[in-house]
Amino acid sequence: MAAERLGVPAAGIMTSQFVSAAELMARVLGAEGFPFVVIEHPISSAGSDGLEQRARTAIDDCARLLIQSQ
Amino acid sequence: MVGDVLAEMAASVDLTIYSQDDITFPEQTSGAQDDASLEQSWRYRIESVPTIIKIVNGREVDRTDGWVRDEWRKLTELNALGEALPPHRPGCGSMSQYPGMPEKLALRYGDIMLAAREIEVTDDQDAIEVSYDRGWSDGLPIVPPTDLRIARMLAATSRKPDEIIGDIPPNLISCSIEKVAINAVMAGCRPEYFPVVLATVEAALKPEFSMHGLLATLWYSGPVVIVNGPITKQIGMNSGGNALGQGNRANATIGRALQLLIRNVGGGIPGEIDRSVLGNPGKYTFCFAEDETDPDWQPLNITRGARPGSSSVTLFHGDGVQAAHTRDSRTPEEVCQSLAASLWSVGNPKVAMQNGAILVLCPDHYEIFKQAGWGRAQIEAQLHQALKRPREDLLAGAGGIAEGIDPNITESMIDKFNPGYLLVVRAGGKGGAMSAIIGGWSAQRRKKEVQIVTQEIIQ
Repeated sequence: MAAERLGVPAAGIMTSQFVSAAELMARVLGAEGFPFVVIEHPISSAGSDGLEQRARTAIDDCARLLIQSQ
Repeated sequence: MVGDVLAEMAASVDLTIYSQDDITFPEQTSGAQDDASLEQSWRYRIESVPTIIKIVNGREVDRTDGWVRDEWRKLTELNALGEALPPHRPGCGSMSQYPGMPEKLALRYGDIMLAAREIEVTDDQDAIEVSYDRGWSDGLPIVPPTDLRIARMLAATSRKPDEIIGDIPPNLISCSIEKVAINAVMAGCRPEYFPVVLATVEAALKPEFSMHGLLATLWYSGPVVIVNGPITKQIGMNSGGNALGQGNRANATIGRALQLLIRNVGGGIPGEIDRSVLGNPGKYTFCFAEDETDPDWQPLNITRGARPGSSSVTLFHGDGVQAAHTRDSRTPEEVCQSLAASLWSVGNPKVAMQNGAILVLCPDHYEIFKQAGWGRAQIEAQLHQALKRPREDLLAGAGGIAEGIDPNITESMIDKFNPGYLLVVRAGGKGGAMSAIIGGWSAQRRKKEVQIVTQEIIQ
């Protein structure tokens, strides 16, 4: 959100466990409905293969967020 | 007798007499003005009666209390005043100074203005139940924050009620001293605890403490408050037997006040922004004092840079309490090795330089160290050595345990804790070699973003 406000296109990524927390913070920071990409939880114990799989699934969503008008 | 004196004064000066309890006195002047409400006593800041105030052109220029003949004569410029009376007699305490009365009068006559919205509780409602219904409780009953209770809390600080102490996460709600006082009341604090509560809140709001992250984490941790310095004795905190347990009002309510503030001002609700998988009982409250009875022991706050003789709070991101019992260790080296082995289990025994810990050193363990001439510095240094483990024992899969340290770490001996993330604190009662470990938050591995914070208590 801070990057977007500086004019830098940015895509936030949240795990499914923290979706409600991210929505709350967007609201608190004055950007209710700020879009972000959601990937599967967890991250810390996902392992290399799991992380790669999560990253690949997030690529298209991130690209869409970065180039579409908001 | 003083009635004659007052009559003598009334004959010579423009005299107004107020009485707190008997408007018929003195008969010689046909009585006094009624100040049963104590409004005038409060406005003139009367501390004892009688008090004589000299007003010139609407402004006080002099005052005296009790009966001191020379002072009354000087103030009234009546050189023969009270000739028949003894030279002096002490006054009595003003009713406006009775316990709790200054705050009542300040609320009634405008010295304390509360900004919080008033919630009306009707006669057929229970204030505690209303508080539950409004979501103000951590699950235990709260003390209803009446105006008078809030005013008494605020009287324990010279800070103005509308001063902003910071933004409370997660909702980053601007928080006044008054809001802290309201939550301190609800937590059950006595007013004399309030300076500790204020320092605790200020410590928690430092960005490097990362209160927001601590609240939102899946981990067990909550803020643990360790109090040092003379204030711990002044407010009766427990650093002895059962120091980490129940039964002491200051220990119990100071930690709770911070948690209620996070909940009620910041909006930090379990299951919402608070994502903890299990939490721990310390998330109701977790606060204790360090045992500073041995002058040879350097208190935690001094170790962390506080001024000698000052009082401080130290905030740590802590889990629950884990035993560190030794049954057969007799030498300081044996105790050290045994405690170090217990400390390795923090977080996971195969994980290093991630979670910090508090080692609460009990008196029986400390006595073994002290007899050997070990002070804080040597205990910490020996623990540091005892906490090193061979790299190969900690790699993923070693010992049949999947967890392990980062394989990119190349040192042959591995430290359990990052520097500064093992706090050694003295507390507890005698009778058992039973120290305690309070494990730390896994995010303490981020040494820049997540730091242990010590804050001076300003009284």
